[in-house]
Amino acid sequence: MAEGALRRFLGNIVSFIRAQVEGFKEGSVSAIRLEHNELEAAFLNMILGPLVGVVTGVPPIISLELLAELGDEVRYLESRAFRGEDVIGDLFSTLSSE
Amino acid sequence: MEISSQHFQVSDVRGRILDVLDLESPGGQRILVVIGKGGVGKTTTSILLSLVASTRFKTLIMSIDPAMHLAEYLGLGDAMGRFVHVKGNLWAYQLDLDRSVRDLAESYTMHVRDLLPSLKVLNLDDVIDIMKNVPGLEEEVYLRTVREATMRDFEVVVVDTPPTGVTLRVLTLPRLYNLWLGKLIELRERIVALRYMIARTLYGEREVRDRALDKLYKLKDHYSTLEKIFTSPTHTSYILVSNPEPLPYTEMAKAMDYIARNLNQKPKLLVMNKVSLAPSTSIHHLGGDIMRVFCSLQFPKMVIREAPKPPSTLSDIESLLDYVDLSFCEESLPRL
Repeated sequence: MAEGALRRFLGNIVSFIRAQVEGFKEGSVSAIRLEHNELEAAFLNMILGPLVGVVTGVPPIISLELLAELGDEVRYLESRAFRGEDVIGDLFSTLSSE
Repeated sequence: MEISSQHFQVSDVRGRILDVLDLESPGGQRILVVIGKGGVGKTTTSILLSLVASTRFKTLIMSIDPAMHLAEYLGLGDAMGRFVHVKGNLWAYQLDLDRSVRDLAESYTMHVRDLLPSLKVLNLDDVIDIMKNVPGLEEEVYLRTVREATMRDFEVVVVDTPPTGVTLRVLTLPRLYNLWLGKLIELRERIVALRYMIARTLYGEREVRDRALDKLYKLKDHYSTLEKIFTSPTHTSYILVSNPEPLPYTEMAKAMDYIARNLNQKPKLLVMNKVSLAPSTSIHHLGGDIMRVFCSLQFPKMVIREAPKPPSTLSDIESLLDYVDLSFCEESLPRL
């Protein structure tokens, strides 16, 4: 009886520590994830910009060459634009809507 | 006797041109880029030099000039966009610019077709309609065409180019593209590094592959090779062509300055084409100061005297060797 209680107690401690570790991991990557998302958006902005008349300096031919390799990123940008989370996605929608 | 004497002179001219072009020097394949204002005789000069080079080397005469004069001279007809054997060691290629631009635009369209729904949402679907008009597409075709020739087993490639402005832009594009690719690679590597950090922290050891980064490396490799080719004196030589008239000569001078500043290259040969040397000709008739200034330039020079009838076939151009003068500035000019 006492052994079972001890096992549960220890199990709870392990679960608690695991949750803490996971929480710590999530917390530690949130800043990295934010930087990643912003850089990704900046990169897409630079690549897609020349194709809709936004002068970013990147030669359009490089944009065309890269476009096919950015499928996942473009779809992600699309989903962020849908959810209204991404100002750059919104900007593209606005710029090209005329 | 007269015929054999003439043959001796022509073969002597061939030898002297080969000496000037210095095609034997190390560096593997040699590329001669022929530059000049529209109508000065770039195609004629290119064919003439190709004929001479082909007496000793497997030679390709390649025209990327949309005027397509090479196709007319050689009667290429339907064979445009293909490597065609002309005679002996000589091969020819005439770029069909419209068709190549259309093909390239279509290939880009094919690549992004899967993305169309997403592009529509982002209002980028017009990109597909305007692809063939995207700035830089024609220049990309020129670069790819030259690159393709460099990957074949020709010992000498003579490139007949579009008018000067376009040609000079094309020659410096690889450097511009490389600058941008360097920046984009830096940014993309940071993105991939962050992605790796996230994946490793959350899921343990993980390989992160990025197609865009792979593509950027590939593009950098492609344009770096082209930049090296265009700026390497052991690989590429520039031949500038003019007529003894103010505008073509001004353009030649500008081109000379441009390749010195942007490609760090000197002209291998300056060609003055269609120089009238009738018995009554004076220096004034020859374009006055232009010929004096031309002759004062410290680069190898070749004068092609005006033939009685303009060349229209390969054999006409071959016979222009009789009109080539490599000592004009030292011998003929002082007598005028």
